[in-house]
Amino acid sequence: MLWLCLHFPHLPAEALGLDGPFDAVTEQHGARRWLITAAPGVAVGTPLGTALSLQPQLRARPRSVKAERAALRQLAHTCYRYGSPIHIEIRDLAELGRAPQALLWIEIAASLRLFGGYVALRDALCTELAERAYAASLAVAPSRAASALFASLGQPIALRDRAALERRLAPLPVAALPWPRMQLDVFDGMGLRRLGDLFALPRAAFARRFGSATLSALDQLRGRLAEPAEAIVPPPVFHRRFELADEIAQVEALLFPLRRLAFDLQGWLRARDAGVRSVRLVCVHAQRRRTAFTLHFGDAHRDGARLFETLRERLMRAPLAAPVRALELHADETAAADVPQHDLFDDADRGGDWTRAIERITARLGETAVWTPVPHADHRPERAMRRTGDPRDPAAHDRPRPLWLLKKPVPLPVRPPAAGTPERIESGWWSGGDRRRDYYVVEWQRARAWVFCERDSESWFLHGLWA
Amino acid sequence: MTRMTAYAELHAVSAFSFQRGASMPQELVETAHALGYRALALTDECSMAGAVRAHEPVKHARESGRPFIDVLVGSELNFDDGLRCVALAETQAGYANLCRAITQARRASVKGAYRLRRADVEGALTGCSLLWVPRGDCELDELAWLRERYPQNLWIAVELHRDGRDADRLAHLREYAARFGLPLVASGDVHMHVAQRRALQDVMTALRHHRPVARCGHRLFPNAERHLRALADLQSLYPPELLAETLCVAERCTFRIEQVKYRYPREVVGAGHTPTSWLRHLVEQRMPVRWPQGCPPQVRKTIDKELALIAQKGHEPFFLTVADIVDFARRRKILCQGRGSAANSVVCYTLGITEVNPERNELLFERFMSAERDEEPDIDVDFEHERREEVIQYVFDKYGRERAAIAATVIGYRARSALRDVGRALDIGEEVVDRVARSLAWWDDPARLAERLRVVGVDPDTPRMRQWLALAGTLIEGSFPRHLSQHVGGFVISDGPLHELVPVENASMPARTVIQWDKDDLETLGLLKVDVLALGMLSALRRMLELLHAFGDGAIEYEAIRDHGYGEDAATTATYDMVCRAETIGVFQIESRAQMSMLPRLRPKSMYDLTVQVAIVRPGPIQGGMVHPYLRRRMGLEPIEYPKGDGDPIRRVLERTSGVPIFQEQVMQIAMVAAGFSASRADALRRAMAAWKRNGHVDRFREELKAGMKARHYSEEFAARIFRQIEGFGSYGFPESHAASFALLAYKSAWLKRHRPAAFFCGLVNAQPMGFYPVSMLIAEAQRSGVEVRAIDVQHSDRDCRLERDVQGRAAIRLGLRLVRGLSVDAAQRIEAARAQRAFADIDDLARRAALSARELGVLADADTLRPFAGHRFQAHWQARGHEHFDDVLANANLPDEGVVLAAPNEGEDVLADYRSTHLSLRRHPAALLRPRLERARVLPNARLQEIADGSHVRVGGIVMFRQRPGSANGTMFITLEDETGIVNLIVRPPLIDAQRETVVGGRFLLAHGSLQKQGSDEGGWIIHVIAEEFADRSHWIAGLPHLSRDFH
Repeated sequence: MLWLCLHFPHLPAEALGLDGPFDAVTEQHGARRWLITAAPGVAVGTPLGTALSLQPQLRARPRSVKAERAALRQLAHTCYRYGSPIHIEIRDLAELGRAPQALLWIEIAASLRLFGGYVALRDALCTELAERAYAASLAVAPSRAASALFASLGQPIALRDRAALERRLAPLPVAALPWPRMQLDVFDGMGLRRLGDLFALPRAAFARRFGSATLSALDQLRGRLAEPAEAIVPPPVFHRRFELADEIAQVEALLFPLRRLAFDLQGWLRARDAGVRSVRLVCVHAQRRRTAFTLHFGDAHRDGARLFETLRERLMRAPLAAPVRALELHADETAAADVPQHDLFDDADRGGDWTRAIERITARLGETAVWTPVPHADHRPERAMRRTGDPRDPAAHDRPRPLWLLKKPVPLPVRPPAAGTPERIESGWWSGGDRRRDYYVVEWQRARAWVFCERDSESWFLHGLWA
Repeated sequence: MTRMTAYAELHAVSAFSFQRGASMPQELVETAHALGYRALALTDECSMAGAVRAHEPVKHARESGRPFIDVLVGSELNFDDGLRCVALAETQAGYANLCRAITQARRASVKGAYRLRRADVEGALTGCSLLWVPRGDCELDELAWLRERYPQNLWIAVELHRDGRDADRLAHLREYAARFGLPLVASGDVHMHVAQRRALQDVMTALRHHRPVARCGHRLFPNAERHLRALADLQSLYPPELLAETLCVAERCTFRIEQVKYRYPREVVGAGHTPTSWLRHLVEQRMPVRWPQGCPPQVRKTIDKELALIAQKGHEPFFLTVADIVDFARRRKILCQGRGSAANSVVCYTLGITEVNPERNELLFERFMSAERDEEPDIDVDFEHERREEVIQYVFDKYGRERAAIAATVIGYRARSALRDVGRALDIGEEVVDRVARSLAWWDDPARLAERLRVVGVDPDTPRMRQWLALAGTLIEGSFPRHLSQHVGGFVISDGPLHELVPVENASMPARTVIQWDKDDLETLGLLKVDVLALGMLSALRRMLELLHAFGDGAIEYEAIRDHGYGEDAATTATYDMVCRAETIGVFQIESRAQMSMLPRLRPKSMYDLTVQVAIVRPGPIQGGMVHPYLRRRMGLEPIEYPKGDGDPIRRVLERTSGVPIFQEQVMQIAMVAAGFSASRADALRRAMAAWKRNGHVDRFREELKAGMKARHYSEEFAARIFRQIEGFGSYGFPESHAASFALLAYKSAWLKRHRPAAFFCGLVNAQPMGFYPVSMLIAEAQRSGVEVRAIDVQHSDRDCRLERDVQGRAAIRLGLRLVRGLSVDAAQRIEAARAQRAFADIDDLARRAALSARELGVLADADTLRPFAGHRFQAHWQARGHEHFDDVLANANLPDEGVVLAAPNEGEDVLADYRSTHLSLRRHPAALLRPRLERARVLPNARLQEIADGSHVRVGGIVMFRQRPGSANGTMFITLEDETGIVNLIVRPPLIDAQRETVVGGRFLLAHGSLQKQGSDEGGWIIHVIAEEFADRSHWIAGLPHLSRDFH
């Protein structure tokens, strides 16, 4: 086994899309926060408070383990061309002042010849990482643990045999091991400062004091013991292309291949017990030009007929931009299907009629033209409704509100015949638009109008109408 | 316009309904008065915490003879099933009932919350007017339930807030009124005194719901109508009969908070005695103890005078209560001593409450009690901090939980908490809030906030930041309360159940209960408070005396350590001489850097000198500019003059302190003799000084004082100076009596340091944490005093440090296991107990017999306490761990172990490990190991500075032990560096702090160069400072050493 290890020291920042020099990412344990990426003049592990006093311009953000995992997984997928198996790990020590280690291993023994030697492989890999703007240090060693240790220390070593490994490990500080600090302190308390000091101890006495697990970890580091771990498998993707025999300019003639693709996807989804939330249809024209459509579904489903219907509606909306040579269908977003468990037969894959009606309207009118209004908890009438609601925060409001709320209040030249106790609304100071208004319902010019008087300027506006 | 209707607001919550109200009680009351309301009821949610404050404007108005509105007492009660009603106390009995109900609800829940069930108030709220507040659910059921129980004193509250449903609400409440035959009454559900507090009120709502304002939606009120509205406005909203009804309710509620009737507990009086005769009896009984040769007639006269005054005020039970607590402590051999103004009383001295002999000090009984003032005397007693809990439990046991509780402390908004809370509500990122709050914490002036913000990269001019700062500013400037906490030791004891006087709630500590009022509230209402305080030095003194007793040689009684006169008694003289040389590390009150730099100049040689010394190095006198005039006059460099010459009445006041006011009493006396204040007015001035933050009433005195002094022909400049001194005193000035009490302890501890140094340092270390210095400096000082200090060793050390005999038979200190970090008290005691059987044979024996875990063994090895078995700490660790893995199945198996010999640590490693494990080392000082490097950098050992001429340019270096930035020093910072020869104090001016902020704030080992400032003599001791000009951070030289500096701000 020959392992190439990549260590990504800036992954916490890169995963969040931060690239300013004063951007830093912090880890938190209880109330304490510290930096896990370096910033100018501030080292990794510095408590946030100290870091801010050293570097006042610092912008610190909490880390997102989820984003880091996703980024590392993406990287793993790209690295398939360099060898396999591939392992990834985010080593989280969760100890005050220590940074997580984002590591990726590629077994390269088999692929070295393919690339024409280590240097060529390394250069290709480094070029690709640089293009993708990921900072990484790498090292090669016969054990995963050792390659990770060298990579994390920034020693770009490439070792093939165990004897050399042993020699290079011996002078390394024990403190560099990614082990719990308590364990490292124990070694330190006995004056055991170098890995060589540990290697020199009698094995039985070592295991007796530090446990056999520690001894095994040491053996793994030296390449004397296997390092079992789960390898990354390539992600499931649906990606089908249908080459047409001729260039086709009529939508009708595309329907057959379209149906075929839709049901291919249905079969693929069923095999995985998944549903699809959005698909992308690409029409390939001459000279590699492409037209792409993305379609979203109200629920995750795997109904081939529904897929086909929706795709057809979309294609019929406008004439083709150019004759089509091939069709591609991609399942962009899959999820567990919202299909009731007891349904066994074909019918079962259908969702509600309402959802399908909406989908058809949306396909015809466009993605942004159709939306569902939901009440939103805000005292300001113009903000009391939104396109999507916050399901955690249901709004209940029982004041009279007009059916038609004007997008913008219309200033009134004359004072309307307002009387009685107004509904007073004073709210919104926190978002720049503090409203201080007295609202009245008036019968005016043969209409029932909702008018208000602005309390600061005492001017009148029309804000809504009842039928 | 028709004639204005009269109105009384019956439902108003203040900021003491935490996270709801957005105005202080005083603001509500004053605004209601200004608007022409007849009355206002403060009805905080299940609380009386704001009741006394709401009464303050009434009191001030009465003092200045203005008419003022009535302030009614009540509370909004929210039941667990949604029922809400406002209860207003009609009578004393009604108030007691309400307090009982609140207490019950509060005690049924955790600190800060309450749980009120209908069953709890089943018919219990008689004597109260009840306003039912409809909330939309189960209204009929609620109303029927209340109607059945309180048919005669129930109203339906109509609260109209222009929310668009006022008309509907009024109509359906009218229907209820007809159906149940109940009257309707108008009320406002007031949450703020003016509509402009709307934003703050929204912030409070947001905090209550733990979400930002923007996501609060309908949890916010739709408008600002819940403020105190103008009468005309109310008139346009409410039918006149509803407004008129408010007055009917207000008239029924005749109870005012000042009517709270407090009675002293009675069990402290002996059988067959009245409190008066019993107090006299106790005083007579104790007189021979204080004056074995017979009481001097002068003192007896004073006693008679005091007793007469006490009897006139009826305060005997108070004195008896305190005397009883002190007696208990004496019986238990807990050292205690009264402090504060009580030390002005000869009766207190006779009873053993205080220790200052009235013959030797100018006591001012008026400061303590006066015939004119209608205020309770204040007696604070310090107890050993380690045993105060025994005293507290005694009080609880004696009076019962019904009758004794601890006073509250109102935790108010400070810059940090206000920014944090408002920031949370405005969704300002936690990181920005942190950054701003943190940059404030160290030393900046909140007034420079905007500037600080720019420095940390936040633009204070964006609307959101402006709102953030403005709202936080309102909270800080208005001294808004954030929550109630527990006072350090102020007990309230009453004759009847306490919860009839004031609601009692749970504290965060189990088995503690606190009342809802703080000490100012208690003072306003005249409730007895006994301060059971903790003082570390008393614990340390007791430990020192016990150590001497156990050691045999040199044992001495606490009372026997006394000042026998400088020059008359050799021991006394030697003690003062040591103090004058500023060798006072560890001595009570006079050990700080500021105190030590003053000692060689003031050269105290008597108890009174020490009293002045204790009082003068305080923020008050320093800010008032008293220190240097006093010094110059005392050294004879400046004549002592009085504005009106030697006949000036001020002379009598200031003569004893060389014409400079140093004590609180003197400020009061000046106000009396120079500005014509009466004794009670002068005391009011003192109280205003102490509480100016709370009400800002000091300014009222400025003009009065100036006018009074002008009338008596004192210059305006002199008057201004006196006022500045008064302001400077604030709450920081010491009363003379208090300083005298502390001076006594300072003398006793100094005596022990001079004559029993081993016991002194040993006791001090055992009483840690306390005082100014870390243990390492105390131990270094002990060694400098010639005491042998021996390392911690499992074969010899107890938990505490103890005295052993050195080769010459003198006392040496054996350090105790308590210094080993991470070792529990229990483990140390197990070791002590197991060793008492027989000495340990080896590590296995130790581990087995003291039942030590692997971790505990490791900790002992870290501290190098296993030396006798292993030789050095590395080997000790190896052996200790070899023991561990056989705790379970193989417990008795004796498996062979390979012999491994590890290399010994070098000296540097040992020193670092010592510091890590015990924060001190008996090996060489880290700076000694670095000496070659320091010499290359031309750095002088600190001890050599004495030989260098004043004004020379020097380089110094060492471990940073202290950083201080006192408020009185205009931004200057003091840094103390320690090397193997001693310490050096650096003065760091603000420009240098800004230039080298990182190093100054964060460095652990610093080199500095600067100019030497030096005063004094070889005999009298030196005051040496170095004015730093540049720093070099060499913290990496001691990497691995723990952070040792104690930073004070």
